Amino acid sequence: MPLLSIENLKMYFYTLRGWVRAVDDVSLSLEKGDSLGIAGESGCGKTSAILTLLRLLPRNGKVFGGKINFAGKDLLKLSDREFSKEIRWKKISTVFQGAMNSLHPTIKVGDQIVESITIHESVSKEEAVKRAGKLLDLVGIGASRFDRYPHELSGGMKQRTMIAMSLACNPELVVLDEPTTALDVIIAAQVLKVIKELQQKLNLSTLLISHDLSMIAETCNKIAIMYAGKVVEQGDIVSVFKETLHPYTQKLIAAFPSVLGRKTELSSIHGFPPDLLTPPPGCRFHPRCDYAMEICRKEEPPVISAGKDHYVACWLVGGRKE
Amino acid sequence: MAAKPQEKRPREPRSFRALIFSLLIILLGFATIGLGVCELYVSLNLGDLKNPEPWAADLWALFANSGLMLLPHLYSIMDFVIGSIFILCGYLIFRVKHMEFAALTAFATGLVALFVYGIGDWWTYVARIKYEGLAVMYLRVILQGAVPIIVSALSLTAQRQEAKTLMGRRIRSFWEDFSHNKIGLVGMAILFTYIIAAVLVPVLSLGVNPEKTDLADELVPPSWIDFFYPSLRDLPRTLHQEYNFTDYFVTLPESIKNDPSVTWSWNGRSFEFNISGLSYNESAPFRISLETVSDYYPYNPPRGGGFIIGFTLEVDPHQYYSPSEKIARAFYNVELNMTSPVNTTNLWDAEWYNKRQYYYSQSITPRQELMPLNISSPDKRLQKTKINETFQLTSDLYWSHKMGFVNKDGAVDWQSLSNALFPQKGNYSYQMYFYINATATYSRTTDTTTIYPIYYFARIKPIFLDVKGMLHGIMGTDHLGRDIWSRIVHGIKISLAIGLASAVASSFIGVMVGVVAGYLGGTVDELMMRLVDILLCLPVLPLLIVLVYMYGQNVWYIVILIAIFGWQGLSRVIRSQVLSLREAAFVECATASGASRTYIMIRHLIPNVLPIVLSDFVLSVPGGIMTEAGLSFIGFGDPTTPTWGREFNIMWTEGGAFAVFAWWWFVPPAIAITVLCLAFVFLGHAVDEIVNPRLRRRR
Amino acid sequence: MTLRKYLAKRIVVGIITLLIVATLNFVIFVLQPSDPTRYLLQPGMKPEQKEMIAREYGLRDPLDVRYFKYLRNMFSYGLIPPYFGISFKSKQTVASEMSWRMQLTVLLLGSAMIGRTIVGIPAGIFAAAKRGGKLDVAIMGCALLTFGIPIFVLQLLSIFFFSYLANIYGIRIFPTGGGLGGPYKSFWDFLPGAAWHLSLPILVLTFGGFGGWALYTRNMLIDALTQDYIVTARAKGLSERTVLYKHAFKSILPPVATMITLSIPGIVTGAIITETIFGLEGIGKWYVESLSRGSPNYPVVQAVLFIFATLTIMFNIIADLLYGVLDPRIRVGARR
Repeated sequence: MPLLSIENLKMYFYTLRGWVRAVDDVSLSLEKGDSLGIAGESGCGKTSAILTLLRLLPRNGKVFGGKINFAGKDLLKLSDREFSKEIRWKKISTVFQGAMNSLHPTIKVGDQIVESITIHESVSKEEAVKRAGKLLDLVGIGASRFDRYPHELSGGMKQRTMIAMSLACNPELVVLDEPTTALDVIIAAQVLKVIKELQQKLNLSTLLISHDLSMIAETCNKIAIMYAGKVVEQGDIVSVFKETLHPYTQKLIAAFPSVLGRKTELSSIHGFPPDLLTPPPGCRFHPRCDYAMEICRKEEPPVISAGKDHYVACWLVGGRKE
Repeated sequence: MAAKPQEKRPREPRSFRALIFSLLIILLGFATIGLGVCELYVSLNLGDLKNPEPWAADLWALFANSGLMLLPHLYSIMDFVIGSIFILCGYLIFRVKHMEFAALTAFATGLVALFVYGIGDWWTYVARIKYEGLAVMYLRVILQGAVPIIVSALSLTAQRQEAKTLMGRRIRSFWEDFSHNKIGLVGMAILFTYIIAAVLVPVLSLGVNPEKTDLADELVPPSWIDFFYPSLRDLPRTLHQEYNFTDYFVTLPESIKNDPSVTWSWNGRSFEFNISGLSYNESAPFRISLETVSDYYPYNPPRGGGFIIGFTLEVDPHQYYSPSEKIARAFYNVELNMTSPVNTTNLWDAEWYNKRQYYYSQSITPRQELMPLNISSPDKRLQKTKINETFQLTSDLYWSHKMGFVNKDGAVDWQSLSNALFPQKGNYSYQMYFYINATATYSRTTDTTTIYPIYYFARIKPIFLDVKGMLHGIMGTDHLGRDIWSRIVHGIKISLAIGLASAVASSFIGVMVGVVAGYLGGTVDELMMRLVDILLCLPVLPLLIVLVYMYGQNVWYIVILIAIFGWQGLSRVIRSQVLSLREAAFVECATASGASRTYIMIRHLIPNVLPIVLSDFVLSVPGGIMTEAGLSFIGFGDPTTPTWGREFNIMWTEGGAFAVFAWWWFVPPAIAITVLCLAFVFLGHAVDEIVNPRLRRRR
Repeated sequence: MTLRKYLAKRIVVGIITLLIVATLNFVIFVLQPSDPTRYLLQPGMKPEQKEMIAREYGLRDPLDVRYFKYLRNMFSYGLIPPYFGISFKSKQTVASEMSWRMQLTVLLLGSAMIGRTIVGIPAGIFAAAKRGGKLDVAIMGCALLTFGIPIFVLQLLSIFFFSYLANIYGIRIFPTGGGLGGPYKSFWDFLPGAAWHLSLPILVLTFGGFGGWALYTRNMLIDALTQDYIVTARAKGLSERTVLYKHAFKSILPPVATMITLSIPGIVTGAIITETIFGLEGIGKWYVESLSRGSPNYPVVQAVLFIFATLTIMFNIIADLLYGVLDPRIRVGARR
């Protein structure tokens, strides 16, 4: 039984112009100890799906159906109170994008970690302080920086503090929402290293969101590709990269430079992501797809298995199977 | 907003709309300049208005009556300037060159014209010559204000559909945001209502001069409250009735009945009686009886003291001088009765009037002039004893004493008097008896009795009744019987003018200082910011009070002071904005391509800080209005301008509005000033939401 | 720039400003065309007598001597002789008269400040917390309304309805005026009477001025609530109350505190109008009265204006320091 399985999740945003289908029929699953990377262009619904999982949706976001099973419980059926008490930070914690702004600017970093411990566990202040110091040591910042304010830390340090904070209550799942944006390459690498170390050391399950395929390839063992609110392909990282089936995934991979491979012209995907207010009928990728067929314009492709632990939603693949 | 490319661009296509609009604006420009030439010529021939050339005066009146007032002398420069701006802007729009800029300039010029001719202080210059009947310069407001505003705004939309310039896009996106902002639209609607009201002041005030007193009784409520209190329906309104004489007869002594030197007549406006000649020689008095029409009085008794019954008498009587008493005497007496539906009351009696006449002679006749009394010919009559006076009932204490309307404190009980005189609605009429003793031979103390030639003239004008209303107009009256509605309506104009003028001035200073300090930097910046620091630390209100107290209480002076103390905050914000803009790529681009500092400031920096200026400007208008009102309220305003603040000052210090709970005096200016300020606060709130992205709703 | 250096700079600018105000004050009264001492010199006096009094008040000294005497007088804040000079009207020292008037003004404005803070800041927080709800709309509406009403109109209205109208119907909650003349022997002496007489003005000042503060707090808080660290706090499982009051409010505390401090000078000078309307013998009314007669009682005017200027400058500096203290990111610096 997977640790986390999301089934047919639908979450729309209400806007003045209508409902925006940010997350439409998304299914994902994650075993304990696994790390899943979710990739896709900006605005494809990655972050929205995570916000739904974490119950941090803005007021105009509404869940229209689906299930989020986490350790045997349907999270969508829990009340806000239960969710806050049992799941938040204790079971699922998060590292947000934008390291600069995710820490409170006028509270000392140590206190922020202590706070996240004390609200969930009934431990004494001294105990919590000690644990926070340990956590800071763990991510390589050092307990000596307990009394610093966020503006006194560098960007990488802030992000590592965030990671330390996410580990405060020994969660089962850590969600990393683009943890390296706004960091330069070297610092990003350091942060990634910390993440990888922790994954191994603590046997963490992680959910990593990024538009950077190489980063996912490096840190995750599973990947899901999202396009316009839908998961188009997901599976084991090796099989997805080696036997890429969905045209979108192919294009996405082709758009990334390969360090070791031949020097090829990087391709970009023509056109723009669709407006999710009125998504195109059929397969949502068909207006930009080179292989679009008649059926792609009319009917939505079903998710089919294309090998061990490899799923794809494309008529091309389906047609081949039939 | 990159640097301009050097090669010549192909000219953009011109739409039909833009063509029409540009031609219209050019036409208006030429018309305005023509008007300027005309008025310069006319005003030079008008002289100083004391003895103008007749044709010029006629022309001036013609234009004035058509609402296109010809401006006097130097003011006609205004027309030349406005006309040239219109022509230039029209030409630019015609050539589709800097079109938005031209349209905006024409728009702004139209606004200025609207402001100056419609709600500014200009027309009061003209109005002082003749208040009533002179309208505001409607035609001018329409031709130089409203039409250019509308046309230039439309030409902006015409351009937007073709060449999408940055400015056009900005204006469009601003307008789109604004038109979805309910609060902003409400503010806009209120503001436009006020502007229209300000332009229409002479109409809205119903032509009532705001400074004219005694329009009704003091502190009376508005007349529409009888709708809610039907019992008040019969309260008197302001009334002037004239009771003409219909019937008259003269009872002459037998001896002079057929004397041709005695004549009398009623000419419709006055009764005239005349004795002129030597043949008259009769010592017995005789009486003229005059009967008036009866006229309907439709109200309840007026407030005590709130009525006048009177008549005007011109008497040029035969004189008698008594050397021993050393007084001159002229004999005549008046008796007046009033017939009400209930009874007949004697208002004046002959006995009393005789007394009064005695005092009268004594008081005004110097002895020395009377000494050489040698009346041998009618020309030598004593001019001084000629009487031309209006006699009023309410001012005569004697009468009320005699009638017993004095209460136990010795004060006249005006209300009882009023109730007794006007017991009910109905027909009232008057009878007057005019006694004449034209004898010339009366003397008690001297031995020499001389007979002089007789001359006697009397003119009696109709009896009138003036009732001061106890309900008046739309908003009642103040403590001097002035029309409050008219005063409030006039306040719109001046309040708008004060608020806008101070905001324009302070915004202008703020932008200039901010942009110059931010862009030039260095010593200039340091100096200017220290000045800002110092000004920000001044206690504004107490300083304003002292300065206004010491150096003149004039509205425009106050406006300048408000502006001087109101620009610092804006300039700081602008400066910080300019500091970041200075580093922006487009400014560096422009600098690199050799643009001058002035060009960069005008072309790049100022347009980019305008949104901030706009929101600050809108929010500083109510600030100016409130500051002026506060100053006026505590007595440091302009005492000659009917602003709302001064209205509060009057009702607070001398008007006694609070003691009698005169809500009709208090509430209207409170609502007027609050709603006007709210309109700007709403607008400012809306503009701030649009301009300041931090407040926008996220996600 | 270190804190000390910054503070020193601010204080220097402040003193320069004070000097400018004082000089302006001096110049205005010296240049005034009419004789400022008309108050003092009765028309029936002999010339020698006039001369004597003028000498006594130092009016015949050369201008520079007068100026420096005046500056010394002002900058000693009435603590040493001549105690701000002698009031022409009451013939007492200005400082002694000012002290008891100051008590009333401080009581009035202090209570109003506290009232505004108690009403305005929570109103802003509630509005931001229930954004878009009925409470928000109601508070926003009230706030915009109080923003648009000139304070003296509101004060007049309140007197009009609560004092005069209520008295017509025999309800005496608030006094109609008068009854609170000074001087008082001690602060506790006049407190009971003052409490009754000040109740209405304090209420009006509170509810007439809370709008701006509520609006500002709300906008700041709404901005703060959209920040990333608030999302973090929520994700951590903090209750909505903790998020609002601890995290969000803590981050807007510096600007809000600055706003409150900066608005104090405005409220103090606003006392001029408030005290005039409610007939309270504070320094504001005193200031206006000293000016509105035929000839100004200028020792009073100068002293009060100087006090106003000092307060304004002081609170400006305090606001800057407060921001630095409350916000660790800005140890010193500008408040905007």
